[in-house]
Amino acid sequence: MKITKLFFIRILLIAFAVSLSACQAPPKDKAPGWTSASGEVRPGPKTGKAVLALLGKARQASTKGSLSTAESYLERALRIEPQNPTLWLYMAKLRLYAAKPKEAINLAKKAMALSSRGGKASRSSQRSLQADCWRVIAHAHQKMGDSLKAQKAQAKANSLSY
Amino acid sequence: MRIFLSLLLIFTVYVIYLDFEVRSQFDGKKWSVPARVYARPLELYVGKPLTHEQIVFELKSSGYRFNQENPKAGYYQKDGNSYRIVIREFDFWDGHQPPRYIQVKIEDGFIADVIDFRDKTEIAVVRLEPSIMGRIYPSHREDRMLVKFDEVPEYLTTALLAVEDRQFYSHFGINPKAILRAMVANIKAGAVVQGGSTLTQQLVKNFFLTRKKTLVRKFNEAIMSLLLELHYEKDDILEAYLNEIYLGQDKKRAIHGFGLASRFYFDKPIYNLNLSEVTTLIAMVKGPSYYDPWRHAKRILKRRNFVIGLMEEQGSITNYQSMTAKSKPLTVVKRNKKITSSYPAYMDLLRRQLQEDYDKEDLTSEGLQIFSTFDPYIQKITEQVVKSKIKQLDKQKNLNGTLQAAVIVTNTNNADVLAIVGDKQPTYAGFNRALDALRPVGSLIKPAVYLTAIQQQNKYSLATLIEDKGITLKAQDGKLWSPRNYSGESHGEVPLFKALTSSYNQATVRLGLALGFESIVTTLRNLGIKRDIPPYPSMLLGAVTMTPLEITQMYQTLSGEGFITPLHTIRKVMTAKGEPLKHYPVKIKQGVDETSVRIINSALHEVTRNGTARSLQWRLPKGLKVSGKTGTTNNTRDSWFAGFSGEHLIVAWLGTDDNKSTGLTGSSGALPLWSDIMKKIRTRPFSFAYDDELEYHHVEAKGGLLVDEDCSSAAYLAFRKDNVPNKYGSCLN
Repeated sequence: MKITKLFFIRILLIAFAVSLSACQAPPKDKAPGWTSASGEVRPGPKTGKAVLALLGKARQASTKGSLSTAESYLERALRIEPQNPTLWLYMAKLRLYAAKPKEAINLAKKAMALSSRGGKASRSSQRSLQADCWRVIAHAHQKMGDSLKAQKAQAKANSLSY
Repeated sequence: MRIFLSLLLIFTVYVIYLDFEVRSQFDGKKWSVPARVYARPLELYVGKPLTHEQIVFELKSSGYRFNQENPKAGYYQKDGNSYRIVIREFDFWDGHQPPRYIQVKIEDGFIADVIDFRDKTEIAVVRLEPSIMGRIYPSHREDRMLVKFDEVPEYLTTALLAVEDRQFYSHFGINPKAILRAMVANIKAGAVVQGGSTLTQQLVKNFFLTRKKTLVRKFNEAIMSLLLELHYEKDDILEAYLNEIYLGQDKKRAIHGFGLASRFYFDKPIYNLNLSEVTTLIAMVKGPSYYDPWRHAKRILKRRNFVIGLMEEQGSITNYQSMTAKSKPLTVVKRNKKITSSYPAYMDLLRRQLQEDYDKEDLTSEGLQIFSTFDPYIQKITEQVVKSKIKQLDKQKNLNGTLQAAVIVTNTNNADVLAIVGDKQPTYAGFNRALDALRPVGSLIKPAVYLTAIQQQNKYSLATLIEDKGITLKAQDGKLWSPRNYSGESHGEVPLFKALTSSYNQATVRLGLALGFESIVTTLRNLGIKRDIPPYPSMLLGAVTMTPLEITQMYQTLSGEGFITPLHTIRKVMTAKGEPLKHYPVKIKQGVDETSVRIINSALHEVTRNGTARSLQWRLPKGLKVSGKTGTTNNTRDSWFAGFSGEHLIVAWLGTDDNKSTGLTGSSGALPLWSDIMKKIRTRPFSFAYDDELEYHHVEAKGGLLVDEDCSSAAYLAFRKDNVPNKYGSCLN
């Protein structure tokens, strides 16, 4: 019983992640594809049930447009799993929507630093998370009007995703 | 006639002035409600480390009571390893949490299960409502919780009027009949036994006027009462009275209003009070200290029953209700001694951080709700350790009670400040050493020197040999300066990490000279130190002074692997009504690249294995890996230890206020205190960070050469992949 429920939550969240492929697009002049504030959520395999529940709530809040409530849920999740890079990436995305590109970059960097921390385990999910981080950084630079840096970051993202 | 007219004019102007006063005060800010500071709420979820001792502590500090019979909000039950808790409803910043009926099972120090005990469904995560850890008072220290007229049980207003002002709803602010009656009664008795003041007059007296009894004041009181009645509805005036009235004292804190009194005496919201409880509060109106239910139970019981009797007499309650209520004992709660803030050092930092965004006036009067990062359990442990350890060390070193301490505990991941002690008597609100003691930091500064080296990627690794040999330089005052090692010996060529883990002064000064002072100052800045640091040679050995808080910020960045997160005490601020006001988001900035910091952290872990903090190998339980650095200043004036696990950073300082020699080094003073705290809090161990740029190797401490992993004396250290020692040596024993 426990396992099936958990499994379904994961499937739901992953399905949600896949459905939002908009941010795969390279940044153009007008921030493309960032219509929904929820961004991708790809909880790693070790993500606990409490954090999944909070992520679900964060997603609900952000689709309703209440970014700061979403961030509050995310902060709770981070206090439970502080080294989960997905949560930091999600936080970075929320900041991007909140028009705080500089902060988004810092958070994405933190997510990247943490994603590498575990070493060689689950290489492909690590790469895709890092690619996401670079995308956030690319968008953030674009928003700040630095298209050169944006392009460089996007190139890094592309090199990480096959 | 002219005189009369001008007197009339003066009078009119005066009344207009009073009218203005009355209206502006009554319409505007009516009461000052101090800001309430909440501790962090305890999150409950499967897998959370939690002991029986801690959950009971948390429940008690949130005011939960043990009740084995019927579960209701604010109570808990225990059955073997399981706790049934009815969590009170609470308005969090992210929404309302209704009452929750949960059962928490604890196994081997972790939560094994959280379910709703009514319908047996699983609960992924739920919060206990946070306890109030402090309040920010105005100077007069009035405290209250505002109530609305329609929240108050009808009994309460009926009882109040029965006792204090029967004609309240029919008089116009003053009651001449009552005044006459009181005068007659007083003359008969030869003393003041009865007052003729209406509730309106009592309110005006408390609200606008001083306590001096003069004719002018009586006159003002009457005029203002009339004006108040002219402008406002009876119910509004009554509501104001309910919130204004003084109902008791909790040490320095004055309890005002029925809302707070209800919580204070019965630990219930006002709408849940029964008749005998309501009448107990009404009985107190006459004199809260004379009728103090804890000190004068008989006295107040008599008065309460008198109030009940009056209500029956006036037909507000039936004879049966009256009999039942009178037969009940006093149900006041046990007096909670910790209601006032006993965390002065933490509150001090919180107040300073709040003052960046709020006026003092708003903080003490607007009833703001402040959600802090304070962890009551860790604070309790820290206080206990400080008290006992300081006593022991002070005695051991014959310091005649002068040894002092400061400790700060934070979360390494998000820079939440969890606990602060600023005095060996933690509840003493005097000089806050954690924030304000500027002390030389000694060797605590060395990681910045070695980090500067490691950042120069190809030039230095932890195995690079540097020289530990006597050196003489010109100090800033022009005098010659020859730093010595703590042991007095020089060690010749040593690997970089060995100089750090054994804290060799001469090697550090030589390395610092090669790197340049400016680059080390830059590293300190990148670690979050804002203070100006003069780039002089003695800086390298920590002659620079900093506060424990600044050191905590520096080590926070190390434990955060190069990301600077400002230490913070505040998560959210809400208005009195529960609207989110300000969110304090996580702020991070990369100060130093994570790879370099990870390398230094691997060496700081080695400090705790074979370096100056090696006693941690037996002080801490096996498996609890930590990293850290000792610090000792000239003539053992300061004893420091700064170190972190995978979850908590603790900085401890010991010394005396008058800079005496304590005979305590970092290893013999601050370190044992630090480790007592670290082993008592539940924490995740420090873990090595593996990333694409790093490799870990076993290295011996003489030549920095590679050795087999079964060499027990070897250090296990991080290297950049392109800068790994390439020669093998033999294991040292």
